[in-house]
Amino acid sequence: MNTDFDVCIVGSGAGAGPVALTLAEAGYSVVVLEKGPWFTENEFYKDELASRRRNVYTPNLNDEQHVIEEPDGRGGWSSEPTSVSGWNFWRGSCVGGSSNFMSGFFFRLKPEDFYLLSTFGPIDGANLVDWPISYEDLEPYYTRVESVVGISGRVVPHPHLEPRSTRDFPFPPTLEHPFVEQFDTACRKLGWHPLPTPRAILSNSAMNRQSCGYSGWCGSYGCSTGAKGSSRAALLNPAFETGRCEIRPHAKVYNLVSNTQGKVIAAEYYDRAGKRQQVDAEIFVVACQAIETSRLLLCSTGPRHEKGLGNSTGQVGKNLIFSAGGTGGGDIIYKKLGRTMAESLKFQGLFLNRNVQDWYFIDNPVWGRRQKGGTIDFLMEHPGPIAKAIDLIWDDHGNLRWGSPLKQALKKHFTEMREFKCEIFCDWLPTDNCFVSLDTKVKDKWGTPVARVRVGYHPHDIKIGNYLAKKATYLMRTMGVRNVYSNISGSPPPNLAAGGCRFGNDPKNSVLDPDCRAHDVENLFVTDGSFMPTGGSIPYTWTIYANAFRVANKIVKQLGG
Amino acid sequence: MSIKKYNIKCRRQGKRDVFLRGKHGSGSIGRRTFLSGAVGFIATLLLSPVVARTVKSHASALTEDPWQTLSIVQDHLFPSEANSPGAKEINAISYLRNMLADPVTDTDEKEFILNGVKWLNELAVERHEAVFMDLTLLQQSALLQQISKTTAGRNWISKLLSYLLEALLSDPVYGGNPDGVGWKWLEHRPGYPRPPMNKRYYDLLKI
Repeated sequence: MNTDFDVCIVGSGAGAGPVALTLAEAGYSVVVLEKGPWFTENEFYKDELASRRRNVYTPNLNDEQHVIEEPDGRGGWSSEPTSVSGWNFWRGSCVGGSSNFMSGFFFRLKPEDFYLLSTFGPIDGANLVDWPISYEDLEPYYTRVESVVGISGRVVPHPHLEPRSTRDFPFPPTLEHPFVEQFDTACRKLGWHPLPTPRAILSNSAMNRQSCGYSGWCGSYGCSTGAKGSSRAALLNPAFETGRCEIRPHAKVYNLVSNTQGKVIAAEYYDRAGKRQQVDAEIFVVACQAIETSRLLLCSTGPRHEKGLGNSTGQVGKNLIFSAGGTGGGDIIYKKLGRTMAESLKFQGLFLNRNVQDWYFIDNPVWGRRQKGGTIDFLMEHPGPIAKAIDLIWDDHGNLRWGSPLKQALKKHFTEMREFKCEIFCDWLPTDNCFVSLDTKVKDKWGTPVARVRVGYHPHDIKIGNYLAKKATYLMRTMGVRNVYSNISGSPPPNLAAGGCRFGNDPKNSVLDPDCRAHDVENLFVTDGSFMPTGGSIPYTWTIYANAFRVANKIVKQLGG
Repeated sequence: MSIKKYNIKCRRQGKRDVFLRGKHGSGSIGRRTFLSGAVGFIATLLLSPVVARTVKSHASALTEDPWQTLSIVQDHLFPSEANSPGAKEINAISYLRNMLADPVTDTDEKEFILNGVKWLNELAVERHEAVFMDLTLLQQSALLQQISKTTAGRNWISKLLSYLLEALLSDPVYGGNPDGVGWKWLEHRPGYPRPPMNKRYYDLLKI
């Protein structure tokens, strides 16, 4: 059959980039369909209005939204469309997806993360399963990401360091803020291991990308030097350079057409003018981020796929996971520091890349058997001033303040202190109360049903989160941080979603086979975070990149390469 | 959850780097509810014949250009002081005008801000038989305190404060914060590169 392209990829984020690059380099023709625009480094500025206040990188919620079902506190569920709540579940609709706006905290899963069920045993109410592949299967690809995407870091031996095939990172760590010495000292005093956090940010120019410019605004902002290892800068640009990868922005795929044999034969999309277009290909790859991937598969019914693609056993959308845990922080008061340190803390630029993994596994005698714990990441508050100022219009008692009291609070918070923060990552256990379905009423602007997302969580997540929060706040107090607080909740962070099409050996309880091909569709692959049955206790991006490189090799093989 | 409780929750939840938790952002919990303002600042305007007449005689003022009133309110919310810029110095009113004229800003947001002026004047007429701008500074200040006890009033003031703080700290390319006066006052150093004139957020939406 003569098709437009060998491979058609829907989406362009972390799950798409490795596939586009691998296939184009192997000599195949690739088309990437992205529903958002194609921004380049020339459109990324440190503009808080664009990134955080007006959300120009995500759709208008009146055009495209979600319906979120939350626990109503009485044992039932209450649902609200996000155009009403304002709770934005989009993270970056543009070429490169949300990887453009990540902070780039990069962690590998640990060998035990692949076998949560057999290592730690079952947990009542959680759908725990082992992965069908092992850490060893993914390790070469983790290593590949270090050099291709560009990860800077420094390997430090510690009790939970995962095995590595290379001695150290290919790029030295990004420059660090002198304040890390205080952090390291406090950690060592407690007998903890302060670890430098690997970052998907180039510490020197390489691969036609400039080195980090040290503005300190990584999270939520596009990178203007190309140092951040987004799918766009690190993978799609070189894929495009091969001349074999076409990228079509403003192409909103709404349906994958399948034939009577059950094979996918075309992707139908709306172009910028709202006109229906389509492309055909040998292989189709879906990588629209967990929620939207499940939504597209559920929408794409066909003669052999009445309930949607990959859904013959009703598993699509099930076992969606986020990242459990929460945040904490406190104030570093300048007066308590030497002048030089205080001055240097006033300006963000250098990195405070530190994390602690001493409780990635917890041996707490009170709990009996060994438990899976998590990662605590430490950072300085984001330098964006508007969000910080708006936080101050409510005093500590929740009363609105304005006039001179507000101005005094602003002056104090901006010039006398800086917030030191921590982020706690632990497993969001997969349960029957966290899944994606199609909403029966709400549609997007093209008339396609939107994703309805139930976001229930397991109480165990909170227990582990609180255990880690205690450790984190204890360390911060030891360091002399004031007004220390922490907040562990079951509220899902929309930027850390995975699952929904988990992979496995048994079609009864999984959507994809171990190669991330749909059990019931021979030419359909899913390469974003949807494949993950469990998420580990870290941000997912490095694992998504690594797995997409792994699956890309399987696709090359299937095409005969 | 009340907006007040919700805001405390948000402060503590933080949403900065990796964990974008919490429902605020440019929207906030129950955004539409938040902006509808229910029925204004006075739940029921129990008009005595006198007040009804007064409101009638001020009817033109109630529908007049709202910008002067908004500017007066801004001066209350963010006063100019000896050592620090206020609403005037940060061009808060022209910033607000630009933002409300911007097609990207939701219509319900614009309506809510303008409706607030109307509600404020209705209340002023009911209490003092004069529109807000004709009151003494003390009377104005007391009225603002009074409406801040109502949900709609709280929402309206917090919305105006958000725009004020944007005018104080956004890039001067948007018309507020002239010459970085807000940044200088709070010793804030902006991140680079800064947005140029032809790449403001509304320009990005055309790409």
